[in-house]
Amino acid sequence: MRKHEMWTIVYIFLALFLSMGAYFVYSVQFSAREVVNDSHNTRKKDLEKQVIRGTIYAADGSVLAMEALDDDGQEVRNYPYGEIFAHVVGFSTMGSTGIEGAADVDLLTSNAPVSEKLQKEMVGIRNTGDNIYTSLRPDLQKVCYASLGDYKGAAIVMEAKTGRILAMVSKPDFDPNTVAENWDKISADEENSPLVNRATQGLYPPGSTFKIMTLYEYIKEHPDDHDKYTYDCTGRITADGETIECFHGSVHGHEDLMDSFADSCNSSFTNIGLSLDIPDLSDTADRFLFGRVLPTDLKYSRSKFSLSSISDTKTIMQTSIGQGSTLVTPLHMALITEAIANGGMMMRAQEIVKKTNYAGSLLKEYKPEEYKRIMTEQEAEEMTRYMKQVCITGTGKKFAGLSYSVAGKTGSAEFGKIKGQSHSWFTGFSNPDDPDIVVTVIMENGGSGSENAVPAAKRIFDAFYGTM
Amino acid sequence: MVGLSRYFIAVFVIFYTFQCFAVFSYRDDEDRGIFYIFQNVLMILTHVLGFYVLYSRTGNRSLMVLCLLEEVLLFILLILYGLLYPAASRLITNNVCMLLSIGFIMLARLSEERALRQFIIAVFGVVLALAVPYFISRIRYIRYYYWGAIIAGLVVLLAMLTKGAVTNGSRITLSIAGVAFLPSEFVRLLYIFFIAGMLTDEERRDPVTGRIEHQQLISCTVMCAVYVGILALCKDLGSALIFFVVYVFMLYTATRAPAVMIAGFGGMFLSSVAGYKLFAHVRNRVRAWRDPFSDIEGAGYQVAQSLFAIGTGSWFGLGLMGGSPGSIPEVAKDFIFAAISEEMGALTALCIILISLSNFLMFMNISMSIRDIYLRLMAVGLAVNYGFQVILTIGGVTKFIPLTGITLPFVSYGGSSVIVTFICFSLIQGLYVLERTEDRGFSDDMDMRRRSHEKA
Repeated sequence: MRKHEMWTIVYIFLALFLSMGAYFVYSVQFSAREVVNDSHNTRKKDLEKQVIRGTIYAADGSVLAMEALDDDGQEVRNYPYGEIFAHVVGFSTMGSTGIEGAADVDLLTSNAPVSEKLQKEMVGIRNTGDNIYTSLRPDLQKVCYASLGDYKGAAIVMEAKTGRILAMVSKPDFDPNTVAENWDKISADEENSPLVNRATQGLYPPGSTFKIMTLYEYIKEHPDDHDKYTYDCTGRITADGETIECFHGSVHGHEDLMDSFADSCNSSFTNIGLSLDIPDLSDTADRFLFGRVLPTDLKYSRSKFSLSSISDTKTIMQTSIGQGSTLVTPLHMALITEAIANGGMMMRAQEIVKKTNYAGSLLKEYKPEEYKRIMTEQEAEEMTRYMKQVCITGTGKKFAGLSYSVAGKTGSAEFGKIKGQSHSWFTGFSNPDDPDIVVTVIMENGGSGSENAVPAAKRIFDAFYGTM
Repeated sequence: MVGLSRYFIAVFVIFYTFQCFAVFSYRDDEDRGIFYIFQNVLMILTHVLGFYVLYSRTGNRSLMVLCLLEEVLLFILLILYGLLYPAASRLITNNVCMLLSIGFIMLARLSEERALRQFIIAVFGVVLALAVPYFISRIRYIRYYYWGAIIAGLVVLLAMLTKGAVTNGSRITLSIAGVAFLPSEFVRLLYIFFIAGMLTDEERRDPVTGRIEHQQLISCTVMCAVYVGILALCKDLGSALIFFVVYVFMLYTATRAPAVMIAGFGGMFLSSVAGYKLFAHVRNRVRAWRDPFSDIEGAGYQVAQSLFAIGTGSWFGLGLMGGSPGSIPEVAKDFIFAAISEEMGALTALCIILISLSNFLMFMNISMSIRDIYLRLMAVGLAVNYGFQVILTIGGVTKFIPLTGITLPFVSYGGSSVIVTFICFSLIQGLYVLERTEDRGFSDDMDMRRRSHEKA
């Protein structure tokens, strides 16, 4: 008697069981890391009972976070730099944030030699978790921290070709060493919201830094003749009853595209904005990751951009100079700048460089990773040419005549209802011919970009090139 | 020892599982005997070590008493089965005991009260398991009374639909004289009986070709549709799905028509789409499956907790008492697999998948050896029922498929589940015993002939 129908059933179920088993094995081996790292996973405290949390190091080898004993012999997490690294390093006492959060599983997994691990487990001693080495530079971090002064805001320093974060400061801050004790006070402070990492989570109107996008779109739509653009600025532009004025009532007169960008002429850029192909601009914003996932391990907010073929003239005018409903995070702005510096290729923002076991033997190196090409190399070159001019004759001319050169864009982003109040922005990179670092600074209510953000950025570049 | 217990337990379970498959390299039962005894030793080691770890970490002495009682119970089952039914499959009996042992450990860790109740239920289960094969050979004419099974099943289902209590949005429990139980578990047995009876009724078959009358096929299909429909109305999706799949596979076995399979899966696809469009709770389950983390406080909570448990436990687990399985809702029932994976390790959990597969393969192996088409069809129904239930529950917990909310046979806590799986197990064993003893003369004959062939 043939039993092929029975065998068919056997094979169907065999396939189901085996694929379920394979899926299970795959998820435990490969996708579990991300799952376990989820901030909602309360089981990390179970791991902490079995593993001593590993250490986080800065690029110069100094400790950013480690387990230590307090005066009573209690184990505590110690952050030697205190508030300076508060946001980017994060904390692990009240949930985990920053790098503490991004590398939670690694810090709580021990890759000590097997024999040693088993020995310790047998006698019931906890093993020590793996260590994390970061690209963060305390020297630059301190300068960033000082440059922001008493302003609320953020500063980011990123390696231009690798996307590695060298410094990331957010203010106001808090002391991660005592965040648990002061939790109620810190978390209730809604006026300052010190727990928010403004560098990655702060959503700001981009102001004139958005002209990078507008300029890019114009160059993209006019690849050969954008240099022939001219405009006569009378200090204001009116269309469909909506008027946009140049900053502080300036009148820029006759200007070409280069002057318009360098002097950050609102009237000229509104004029450009009105000529653009809006659906295409929308695609560009998408490509520049507005409203999209950003390539970072840190917790961040998605930037916002809304313009479509049905948008009215007023919205288009405001959007093209970075006002309106567009919102961007400093990290996003730094990533766009980094992509321009890096020939159009956006790199993944990385702060973790390698992972070792507690004794120092290498487990994993995190190589710089290309994330997405947002423009062609030629376009990036052209953008760099325009951004260089800003820092020679334009709003960033404080960078002219230094031992290093800078390409960038300033911004004065109006916010709230009161006219004249603005956040001070600068984003740019040094040594445009062979870019070194990207610096992005925002100072809340800091006036125009050239007033506060440019000097702050200059202090950071100075520190990097050792010309302080 | 306790510190390294998770590794020992994993090694014991892995060795055990290896034996499940390695045993087939020996054809003779006598050669296999040593394997089976080795399996029993590994089972005892796992069970006793698990309980010892629990005892040493909680200081609760009564756990060791429970451990001893459970050992006695498992021994009674193993030894009496060997004595009463030497023809029964020892591998299946061993597997049942192993799965029960692992379940016992996990339940003792989760809740002492539930562990004790599970033990008492298992005592009843063992009694049933010992009795059923004895009776099965004496009630052979039940096959002609399938209408009785259909009506009994319908009465119970309708009672559930109208009087059942709602748990987690599904109407699945019924209380009789203060005892709550899951009627669909019991009805599934009746369901398999009646399908087997209807599809093999000699009066409804063409005497020459053996084909089943169309009218009979239609009435069988209609009855099955009614059953599945009622379950869907009770929002008991897992059961509805199992009933449907069992029917498709049994019909396929009876008719041997590949078209049945194609139509069955097509129907499954269409009804899934319809269910998704019609019912909000189906959409919720699918959403929670695709991305449990997007609604982690709501629909995705259970699966997310389960994935946290499995992921954090990793291959060797956090050790018994080392994790927080209590944070998973329904952990002792539908999610016991996740709890095992969390504390005893993913390797042990993987072995549970393989041991269940071994059970399914043995069930199918037995089905194939049965020549009576009614009994064979019933065996196939029981095998598919078991196999599919395992896939639904483990698949749901591991995010392989959307969650349906169903128990893991022999491992999960729950009276109805344990009793019904014991009945299924003993039915299969009973059918096997019946087949082997009735035809002993014949198969001995075959053996003789084969051996003489080999000599020659």
